Amino acid sequence: MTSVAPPTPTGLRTTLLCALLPWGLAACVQAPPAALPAPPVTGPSARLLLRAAVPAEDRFALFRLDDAAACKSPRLLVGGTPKQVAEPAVLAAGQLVTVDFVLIRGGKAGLCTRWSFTPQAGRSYLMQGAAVGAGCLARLVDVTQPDRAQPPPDAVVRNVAGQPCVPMEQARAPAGGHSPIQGGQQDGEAVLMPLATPRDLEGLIRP
Amino acid sequence: MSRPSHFALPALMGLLTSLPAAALTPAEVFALVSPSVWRVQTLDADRLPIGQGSAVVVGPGVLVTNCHVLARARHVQVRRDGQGTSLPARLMLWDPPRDLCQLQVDNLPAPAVKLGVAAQAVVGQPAYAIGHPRGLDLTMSAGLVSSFRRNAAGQLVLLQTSAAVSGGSSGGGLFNETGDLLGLTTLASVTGDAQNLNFAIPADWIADLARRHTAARQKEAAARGPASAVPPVPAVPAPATSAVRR
Repeated sequence: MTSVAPPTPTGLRTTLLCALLPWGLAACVQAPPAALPAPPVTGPSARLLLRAAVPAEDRFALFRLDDAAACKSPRLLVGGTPKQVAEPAVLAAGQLVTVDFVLIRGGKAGLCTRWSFTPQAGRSYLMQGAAVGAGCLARLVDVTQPDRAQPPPDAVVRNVAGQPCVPMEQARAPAGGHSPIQGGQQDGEAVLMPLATPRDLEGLIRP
Repeated sequence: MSRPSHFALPALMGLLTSLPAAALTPAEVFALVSPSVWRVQTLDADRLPIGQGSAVVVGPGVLVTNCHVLARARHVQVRRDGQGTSLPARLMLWDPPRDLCQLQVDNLPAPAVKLGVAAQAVVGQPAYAIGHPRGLDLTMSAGLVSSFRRNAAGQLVLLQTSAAVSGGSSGGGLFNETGDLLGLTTLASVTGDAQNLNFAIPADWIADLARRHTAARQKEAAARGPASAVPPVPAVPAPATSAVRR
């Protein structure tokens, strides 16, 4: 039986992986060239689990960016292989975090999806990656109640259409990421799409 | 043995008052409500067509539709089969998180439907979708109320129905067997292995539209500064008021 170690920061090199994600986003962003391990979290926290469906020879890793807004300063959270389940990562609760799902293929690392969200204390989240052809993708779901898994309400994808770090105010939840059938809540009232805005109606709104 | 008798009369009266109105045939439902279902055409700044959907009349000159029908439009008009000219519509109220928007059309020659209460619907009861799918004016399809979709807090978000809907049905009506509006057909599952999985936002949300619109605009105004106050707007007539038909 072969034991495959998770990727180490020094083993990661920059490359470019491109894939058209099902929700129409292009994952064409350079992965972090090197990163130090993330320091332990103190205070309220949430768990982030990592799973991926990738070819046997591929590996994958999860990075947390110290500068969540500007997508800078990556820190390795955890790595995994198809044969080795990654340990859960711990995230500080109540503050915006940006995390990268990175696929390592042939010794080269490529960023698949860069998510930003605000973990809630005591909750469990799952980063679920997959290799698709020459590219990859990853979705983020709250699995605190596994039978009611759903995207975190404020989760947005930051690497969109070739941009590695779309500003938070411009980032949107991916279509298909949050199923409107699950609905949501806004100020205690039921809604279909909690993040929907009147932006698409501006041409009709008269002052 | 006296206790049951104390409750017998109120229970019987409650049963009588909760009995539904006489069910209509599908043809009768169509004849009743179809004058209130209109086609929505959206146009760009050059008045070229962008898309089309459906809308339901819920008050004098007042229609409701899905906000996504109106996305990116600069002009909106409504029309019915056989009508020579389209009528210009104005967006009056909007609630994108609920995908519910209200249009105003001057001199709209159409009666309002009666708003039903989605919470009183039951799985298995007949449901009829009427709209303008694929531009096919006033198409009716029959099915059942299949289920209720709720958010994590247990609040009703969507009625699920097996009544067929297609692109262009959005904003159309989902009616029960007495012609009451249960919801607006809004979503359909279109994956290859899905069949008859269609969804309507509850009609109950129509009564909340003015309040939620005003609250959202006030929140936006507060974010902009104290000088931009938003006046309240009147609510859409609630079910069983004189403004609705039947």
